[in-house]
Amino acid sequence: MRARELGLLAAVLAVVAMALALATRSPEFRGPPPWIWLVVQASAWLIASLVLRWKKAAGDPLLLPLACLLSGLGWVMVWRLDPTLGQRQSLWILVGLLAFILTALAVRDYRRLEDYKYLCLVCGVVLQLAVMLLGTEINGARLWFRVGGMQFQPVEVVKILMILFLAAFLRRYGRWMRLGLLSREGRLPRRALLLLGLGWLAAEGVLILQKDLGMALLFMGIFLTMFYMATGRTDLVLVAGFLFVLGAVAGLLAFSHVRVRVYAWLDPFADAQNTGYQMSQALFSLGWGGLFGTGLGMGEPNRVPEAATDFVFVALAEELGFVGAVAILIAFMLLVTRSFRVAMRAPDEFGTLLAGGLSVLIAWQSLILIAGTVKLIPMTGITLPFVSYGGSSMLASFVILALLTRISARREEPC
Amino acid sequence: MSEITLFYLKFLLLAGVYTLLGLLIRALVRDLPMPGKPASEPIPQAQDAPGWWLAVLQGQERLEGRSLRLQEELLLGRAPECQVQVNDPFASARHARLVPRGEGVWLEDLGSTNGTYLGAEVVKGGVMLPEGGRFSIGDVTFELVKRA
Repeated sequence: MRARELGLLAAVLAVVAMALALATRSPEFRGPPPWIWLVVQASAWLIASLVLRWKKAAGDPLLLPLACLLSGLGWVMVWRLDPTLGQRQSLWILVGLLAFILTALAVRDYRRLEDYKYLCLVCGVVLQLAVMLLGTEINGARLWFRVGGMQFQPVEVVKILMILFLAAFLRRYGRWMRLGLLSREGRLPRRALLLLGLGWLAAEGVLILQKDLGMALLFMGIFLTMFYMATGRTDLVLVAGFLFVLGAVAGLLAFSHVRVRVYAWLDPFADAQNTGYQMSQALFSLGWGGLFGTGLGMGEPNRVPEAATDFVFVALAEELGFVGAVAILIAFMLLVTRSFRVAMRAPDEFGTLLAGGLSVLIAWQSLILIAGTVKLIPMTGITLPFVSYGGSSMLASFVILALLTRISARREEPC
Repeated sequence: MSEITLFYLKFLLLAGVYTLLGLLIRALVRDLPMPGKPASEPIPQAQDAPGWWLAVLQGQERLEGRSLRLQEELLLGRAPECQVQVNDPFASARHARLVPRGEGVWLEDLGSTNGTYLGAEVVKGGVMLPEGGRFSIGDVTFELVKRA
């Protein structure tokens, strides 16, 4: 099993090296390609794989290579867009891998996490409220804390805490939510309605106070999918989803910031020099890429504002073309499929819900972001897991990967 | 490097990425549970031995049209210990059991998630099936045959 992981990692790193060699042709690339960073990164990935094997903590052998492919291509693109950010991104990947190893070793038995569910809830809510009230406002959305020169996006931590809480809570109370109201028994499912009501309030609160549609959408998506996984109640999920859409439309009518984003989405060219600038540049960038792209380092993805963070997918699509963009989508798909497999094979219900929640998180987050950058839905301020530039996002993605690895490792070892 | 080389390198990189995805997909497919290949081949029996037989009418390609002799208790379900492997998404691990009892066969649902059906009716607990009795688990339909 392990030999397969190492082999796949080596193949992935070879492709990343090739991408790096090609990307050096860009005018933003001053000096020789950062081969040293590539070597350091490659050894870090291999060491992570070996340490886990040595400590008998190794899990699913496909998760690590898939994450390596996504973060490798993202890193090459970020470096190609801006070598300063690229250098920081290399550091973040190393820190992320360290966090991966530490999490995988520290969480020897993930079932212990279930005992901390209310701690997770309180921490998550406090962090979220803090950033909503005290955070720095960038581009009209309050998602960041600024400490010194560093920015920290607490939502990356909040989402993991929330999934831990929901998995533990639904494991405990999910079975009572399966009955009532429209199903077999006439009773009102009070617990389920209360939980759904609170979740709805939280999502609308995020939308109104934080002024970010994507965040609210991500929260509601994870919440409803996990609720469905635990209870199988299609009726309640549909009703809650409908109410969320209603609330979102009301929010759109009431708040000018959200409205600006929606108008920029509906017709970016109406105000192409101002509010629609980013979106119209992104559309030109996508169109310029065509089927096979301009070739790495040959395009001009820097014309799109925030190309390294929010619009990294557009930058990749311009230089690798439609075919390359589809390859990235496939990589995400495989990662999600594989994580769902971890969920289905988990030995207990908490493991299933936790791994399922984390897979759903990766799925929704990449879906919402990519859909936002290609003008399928309004643009949002969340990042693409593993690919985008950003420390908090990179760290969170690696912690998620470690938890998934831990859950998949569970069945191999005697309890 | 000439323009033409650069042009081809672009495709080489895409080919590399897709080869990689191919490798990953192959690894993923290899881990999927494959249908076919039962844990152990059923012991061949004379097809006309007298007694109760369980025939698979429809639903499962591998078993369709085949029948199994019912000498003692038979367990139906997805678990490896079941004598009759029902690989249907609606079957539970230990779904139901059949016990031959002289004049009929006792069919008992072992608390399955999606139920065992006699036509449109759910089997609650157990039921005695006569000769020619039909029941289904998921999309698989079975029939009880008595050979003299």
